Amino acid sequence: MSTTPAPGRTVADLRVGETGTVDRIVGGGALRRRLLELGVLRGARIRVVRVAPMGDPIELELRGASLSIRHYDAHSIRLVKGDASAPSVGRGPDEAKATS
Amino acid sequence: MSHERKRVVVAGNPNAGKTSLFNALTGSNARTGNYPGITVDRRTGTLAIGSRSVELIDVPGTYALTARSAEEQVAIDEILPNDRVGPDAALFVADAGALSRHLYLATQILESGLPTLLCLNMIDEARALGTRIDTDAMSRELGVPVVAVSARTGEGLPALKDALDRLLEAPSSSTIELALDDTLRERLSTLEKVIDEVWPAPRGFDGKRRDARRAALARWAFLSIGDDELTNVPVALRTAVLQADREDASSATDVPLDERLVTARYAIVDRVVAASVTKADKTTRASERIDAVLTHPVWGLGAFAVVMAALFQALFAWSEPLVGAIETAVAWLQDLARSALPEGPLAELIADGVIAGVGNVVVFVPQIALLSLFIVVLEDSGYLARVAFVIDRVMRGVGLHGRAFVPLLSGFACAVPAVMATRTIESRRDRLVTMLALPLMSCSARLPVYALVVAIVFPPGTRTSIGLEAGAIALLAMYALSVTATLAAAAVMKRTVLKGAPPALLLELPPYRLPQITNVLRTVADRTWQFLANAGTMIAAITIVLWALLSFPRDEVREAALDARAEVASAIASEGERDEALTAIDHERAEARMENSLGGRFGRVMEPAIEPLGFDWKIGIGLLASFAAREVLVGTLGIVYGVGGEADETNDTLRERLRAARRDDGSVLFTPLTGVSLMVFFVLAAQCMSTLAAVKRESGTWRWPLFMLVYMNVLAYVASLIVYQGGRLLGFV
Repeated sequence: MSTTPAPGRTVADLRVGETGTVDRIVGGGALRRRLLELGVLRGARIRVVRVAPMGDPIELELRGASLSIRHYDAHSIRLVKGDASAPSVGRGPDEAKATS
Repeated sequence: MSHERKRVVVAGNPNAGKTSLFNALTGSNARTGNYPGITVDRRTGTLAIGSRSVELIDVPGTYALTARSAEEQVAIDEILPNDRVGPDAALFVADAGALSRHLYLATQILESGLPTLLCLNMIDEARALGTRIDTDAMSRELGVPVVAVSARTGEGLPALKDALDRLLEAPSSSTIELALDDTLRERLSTLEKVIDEVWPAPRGFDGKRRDARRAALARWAFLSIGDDELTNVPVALRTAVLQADREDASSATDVPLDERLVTARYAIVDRVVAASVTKADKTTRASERIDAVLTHPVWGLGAFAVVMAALFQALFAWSEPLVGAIETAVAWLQDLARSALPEGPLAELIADGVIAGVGNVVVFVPQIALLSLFIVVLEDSGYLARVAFVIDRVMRGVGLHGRAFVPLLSGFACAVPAVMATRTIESRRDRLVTMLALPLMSCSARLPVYALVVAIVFPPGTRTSIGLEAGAIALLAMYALSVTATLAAAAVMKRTVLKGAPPALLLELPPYRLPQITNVLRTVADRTWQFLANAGTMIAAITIVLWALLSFPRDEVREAALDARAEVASAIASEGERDEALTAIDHERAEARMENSLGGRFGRVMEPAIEPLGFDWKIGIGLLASFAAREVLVGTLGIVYGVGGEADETNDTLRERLRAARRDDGSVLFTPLTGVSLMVFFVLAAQCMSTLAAVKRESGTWRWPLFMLVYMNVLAYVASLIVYQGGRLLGFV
């Protein structure tokens, strides 16, 4: 199984604290469906919370919950172009929405 | 009356606190079993509500009602079986603080038409973070009863029981409807027709319930089939799903159909959460602050090293007094049996067969209990997920998951608890690779063997050319070999016999929580009991067989001669001399019996096979006997060299006799080269029947322990052959 490198930014390109909006998951298979069911859907906001001490995996936050994946797999989550908010203090915009 | 025993499944995501709720509800009325063929615990318990007795089934935690492997399908078969009626209701447990994720699975269960009670667990924790939940609003949105509880404090449990009682009295299903577009509806209805053929509704399902079941199974198939390892999927259904997938891929629609189905469910989740949950704006979980340290590049690795060192220390050192006490107790019982029963085969069977066999099992209990204790505490506190997070990078190198680290490390102490610890690895393939490779880790039972061999062939003061103790270097080399072999074996198995797409790492770092002592103790007791009941009986049985093999048949003529000499010896007046003479005769008798036994004869027969490794037939008997446990080699050499079976690796007489041992041609048997070859053999060989029994227990089949037996012993043979023959070619002796 191989993932073709996606043109444009992916979750793997986000820096710690940055948030991106999901465009789609490239590549198919079981991983894609697992990610979908964990909420990695078009328009979902994903924030990189931290990187493991040895550089991999990375911990993401989406839907207010934690999810860690390897860098390699993070490459398959493509982000909407030109959308990556800088590190925000406190809560990200995704949680603000959940407050309503 | 409708008071027949109802079955209720307790379902939810991992980390929803399902197990502590289950424990809080069932108290001591729970049993832990196993799903056939796979090691996923199946726990059932009884809950009494008034005069009603409800059977609760603790279903393994899952994120979704879809599966790609038999392990994942276990949870689904409990909730939504395709071949029988299924449970009467579901108790869905969600983390009140993470509803945006946990309710996804809830929607799937509601869709299936199963009457459900939604239980928002850890409400105290959510409240402390400023989250407020309107359970009435949530109940209206979802069309099912909702209660907020805290399994930890007991808050809300009476209300939960009342609500469950009412639900079982008057079962009703949810009213949620997914907003699906026409294309998707059409695809799913094609699958529903196939479902009607392959998995028709059981008797008693009609109208809405029947439609909901069919729709849920069709959606399960749509999202599960394709790139899966499911067994038992009817061909017609698989074909229909793959056909639908192909059509989807070729169409020009933008969002794939499967994503649309998932999106429709999350739309409901979002609507429900928006209508019922209010979150405080500014709260940082304590977990965030803890993680800032525990996953920090420097402090995180430091903390990791400290925790792992403690675990290692516990397995190695803390269990020692308990193991010693058990060994003493077993020896005492054996003496008791020998003195209480008339001398003869029966007394020997009881003492050396049965009591030794049970002892061989019980002696594992301290390490199994300690390792289970560590793992449960690490798991319940949330740190076990961080262990995987921190070390995954290293494990990835050999194709394993971060969760394989703790079992591998535990292998240094003992493979039996380590094999049981592989349960924390989700993927079956990774679990198998880990349990098949970890017996190569140099366990503590090999230490006495190394210690004896090093003492014989590299006595203290033997220095290498660079001035270091040769014995220390040899010992270090054995450990290095063991780690290298373990990782290499794992990497090779991942690429060959257990090849498959590398399972991706999907890891949730749950909030840190204080483990609950009752949960911890219960799990430790469960694990230990499972070992005793399953692997334990096998180990005891094999011990008895091995004992018989190494004790019979006997040379009656020689026995009679020894009896006669013993009679003479007992007449010696001086107590000291008499005891000495009798002990000498006992040792001779043990030696004679072992040499004449089937095992002893087998040792001679296989001498030509092990001679190229530098071993003689006496070592051969030792190899056979050490199948009971590796350290038994030492006692067996004690017997065949006439020092008695009680001799340990520090026994000077044993060391002297072994140093003096000669081959038939008169050359020294235990040369440094023979010693190294023997140690290499012990590093690599699968000699421990207890490990094999544990692997059988955990893999559910004899196939994998047999595979392990073959691959490790072939590896050991070849490696020792290369060491011995290569060494001779290079001019070593």
